[in-house]
Amino acid sequence: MTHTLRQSAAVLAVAAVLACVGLISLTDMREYVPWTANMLTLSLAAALSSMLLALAEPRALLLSTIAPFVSVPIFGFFWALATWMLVGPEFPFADLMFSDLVLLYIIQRGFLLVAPTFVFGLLGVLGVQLLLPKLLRR
Amino acid sequence: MPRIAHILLAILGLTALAASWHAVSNYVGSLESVRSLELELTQVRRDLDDNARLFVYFRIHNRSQLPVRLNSYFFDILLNGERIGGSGSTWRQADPNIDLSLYARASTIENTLAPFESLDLEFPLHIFQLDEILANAQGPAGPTESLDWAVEAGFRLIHPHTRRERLLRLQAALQAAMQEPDP
Repeated sequence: MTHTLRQSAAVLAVAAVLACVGLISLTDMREYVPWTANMLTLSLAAALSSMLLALAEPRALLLSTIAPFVSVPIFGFFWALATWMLVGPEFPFADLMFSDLVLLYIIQRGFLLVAPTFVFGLLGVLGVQLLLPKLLRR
Repeated sequence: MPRIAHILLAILGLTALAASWHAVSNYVGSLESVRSLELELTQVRRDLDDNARLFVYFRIHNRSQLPVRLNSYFFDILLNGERIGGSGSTWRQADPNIDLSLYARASTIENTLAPFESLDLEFPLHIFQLDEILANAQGPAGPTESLDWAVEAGFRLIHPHTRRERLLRLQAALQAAMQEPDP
């Protein structure tokens, strides 16, 4: 149980980083964030967070594959929550969550932009898993 | 080593969540503020001195919780579903006496609407053969007959965060008899 919770927390953390850097930085929202946003930042963030994941968890390869998928609903949830808080409780939260705006925008852009993080995430994990034992042996 | 990596991941994750929430709510807020503008057509009135001049009165409401910066606007006016004039055509008649800066002044707002604030606007229109148009629309009942007025307007807004110009199209309708001219 504790093990599953720890793994979920690690996946959530990587997903949060990907949602933040990947989805926000590479959409129309890039003007609303103070950091530099481009594909290089996204790739670096994906690789670094996956390297940390590889250090923290033994099944990092599987977990880093799940993380980009988790990042999309995180982003969608935030979007719906922000809209709901602004337009007030006259709209049911579930309606907003599954509205065209949230669903289409998030799914279309989300998965398109998260796709490159797969590659760099896997590279990060493999890099750590293959190189770390060699380094430690020395 | 795994413990340190876990702690670092947790810190990174929480920071990323906070940053995502900040950016998303900021962005959604700016979109919603633009979407929560409402246009109301309050009155259409003729001028006593000039029988080709029509005054159109609008009210624009900001129903959002964020301020909206309005720059300028343009519109078409429709009577019983047919366009009879608009802000764009009014001042382009081949009349050399018409001061073109009047159009610029009438259509420029340059005002920031606070949350839940309204702004009243007035626009003088020159409509060729206005008497004839009104007589046709009013039918046998004369001036007391109710007319269907509608406006299709475009508002230029300055987007709150990007400072970019954005065009928002709004419509409003009014069903009323022709107002008596101002004494």
